[in-house]
Amino acid sequence: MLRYILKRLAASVPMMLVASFAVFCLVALSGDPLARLREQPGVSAEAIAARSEALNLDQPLIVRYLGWITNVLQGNLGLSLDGEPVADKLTRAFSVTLRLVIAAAVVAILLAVVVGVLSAVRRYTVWDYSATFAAFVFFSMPVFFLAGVLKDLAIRLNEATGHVIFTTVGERGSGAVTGLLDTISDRAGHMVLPTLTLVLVTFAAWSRYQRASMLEILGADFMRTARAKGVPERSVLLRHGLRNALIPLTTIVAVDFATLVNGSIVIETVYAWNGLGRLFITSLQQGDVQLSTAWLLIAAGAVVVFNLVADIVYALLDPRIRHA
Amino acid sequence: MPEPLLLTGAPRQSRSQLRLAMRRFVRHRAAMAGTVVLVLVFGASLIGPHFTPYGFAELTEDYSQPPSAEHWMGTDAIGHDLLSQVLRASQKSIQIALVVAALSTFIGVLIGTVAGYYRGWVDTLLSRMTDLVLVVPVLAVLLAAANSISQRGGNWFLVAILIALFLWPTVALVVRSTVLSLREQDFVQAQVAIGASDVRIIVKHLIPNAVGPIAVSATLLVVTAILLESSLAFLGFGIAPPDTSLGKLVAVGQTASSSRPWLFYFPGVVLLVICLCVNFVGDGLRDAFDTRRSGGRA
Repeated sequence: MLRYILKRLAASVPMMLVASFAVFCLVALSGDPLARLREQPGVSAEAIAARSEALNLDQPLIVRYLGWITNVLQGNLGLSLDGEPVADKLTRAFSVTLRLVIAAAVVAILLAVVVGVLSAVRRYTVWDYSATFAAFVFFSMPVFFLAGVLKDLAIRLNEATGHVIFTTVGERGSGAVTGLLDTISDRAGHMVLPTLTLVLVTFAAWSRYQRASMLEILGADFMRTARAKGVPERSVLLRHGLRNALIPLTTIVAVDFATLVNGSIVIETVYAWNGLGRLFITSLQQGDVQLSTAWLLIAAGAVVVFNLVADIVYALLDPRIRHA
Repeated sequence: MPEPLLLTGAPRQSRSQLRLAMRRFVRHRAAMAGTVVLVLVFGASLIGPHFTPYGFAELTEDYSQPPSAEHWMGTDAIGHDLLSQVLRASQKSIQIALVVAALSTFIGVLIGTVAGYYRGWVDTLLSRMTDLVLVVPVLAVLLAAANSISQRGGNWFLVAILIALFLWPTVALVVRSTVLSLREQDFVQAQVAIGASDVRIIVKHLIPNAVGPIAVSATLLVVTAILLESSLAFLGFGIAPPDTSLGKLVAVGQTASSSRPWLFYFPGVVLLVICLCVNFVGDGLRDAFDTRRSGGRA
């Protein structure tokens, strides 16, 4: 097992290097980072030249990349436009987004497993048909529209009752919150709607995969054998069926990590969360190249780590993989 | 008359399979309903603008009007007729989606067949590349790249090409696995034996027999493309004014959803209906060709 993990780990190092170069080129080639600075009135030629120097813009691309990656490897991601280290900004936003993504992923996986398994076990019943229809609606649903609808409904509900039942703006209250319990309830209250949105758009597709893999297992020979041995039905479904039917979902969830990233960019914009998604959008709008490059690098790293974890989990669950 | 050898078996079989699939598709109620609605929406978005009294960029004297006989979907704060805008935006969304689907299906089929047919190191290389592009958080990368597109006037065709560059892996995966199993079959081996060229085998025998899986994944790409393009527009990237997109309309409407809900709900629901219908069509195609794949999303 250890050998398998090390092998996978070694394979992801060149992957990361390729990704870092791609990311650097993407940002470097996607426009003049000084365009906005030049447009602003009252910015002296010296200021522009200084900025150009700071970004090494007079150097060829490959030299700039080597300089940048050397810094990154030493833990220096550069400075944002306002002079704050990029790393600090990313760390702050990261914890905000992590809350959203982890909560949503956990709830969505549980929901997908429950809905998918029930659909498979009660195939072609009213329950199955409604779950299928709901899944169709939610994976045809643009995230920003769903987020907007939930926000609109929440605002109407708040107005109708005269109480703030759902908070719709920001990741935390504006007032000073004291005490651990208050802080937790404040953060949790702000999380309800964004998490719900992300759960709904991700669980739909996952529940379909779960249904398909459960159906396949239900038809397997070992299920019939288990029943023939006289194993109670409940135990057949859960210990023999579900355990095996969960394996494909781990891969799907890991590959769909990108969906979670996409979703959180949009959701943070709608609910005005100061997380990674919004940070990225602002960095692009302001032409903050150091920040956008570092952001994309972190995203690439997260994708690689997620796939690595998925491979390892897969191998743990299914011995056939690690001995292949 | 006797059959002229079994070497011509494959294309013949694929034609009749296609007809069978067509028949199954027509019987699929949701898929047919989806097709009809899609044709109506696309038709309306192409023909409608010739009949609506206002241009999509025209500023009327009516500001923030709720839906009425004059403005079926109401107007926005500066007097745009929303119906005209929604029609124009749907037209753009569908155009972009079709271009994306066509382009990325082409790239996907090309890479998938070459990888599956030649195997060996070519396959390893192409498959690695496919896996790499497959896990890219597309929206983030598109945002970074689209930034320069909006600086260059927001050409919709550029947006489409850009999206297509990231969506081909799903097609490539499906085509590769189909080709891998097809190339072992007797009719392909027979072609090799009579000395048919690789190009001929690929174009005449492999691709026609993989048309089912290709059609299904191309349809799913249409949804992915529409969702991506509208998300880009919603976040303020991609298509530039005065031209518009459903995502942009939803973005404008969302800021005023409590006071002028029509601005938010009309474009949003149209977008949802388009995506839902395409998914129904995809589901119908999948059942018709009976390929065992479940849907994903962007």
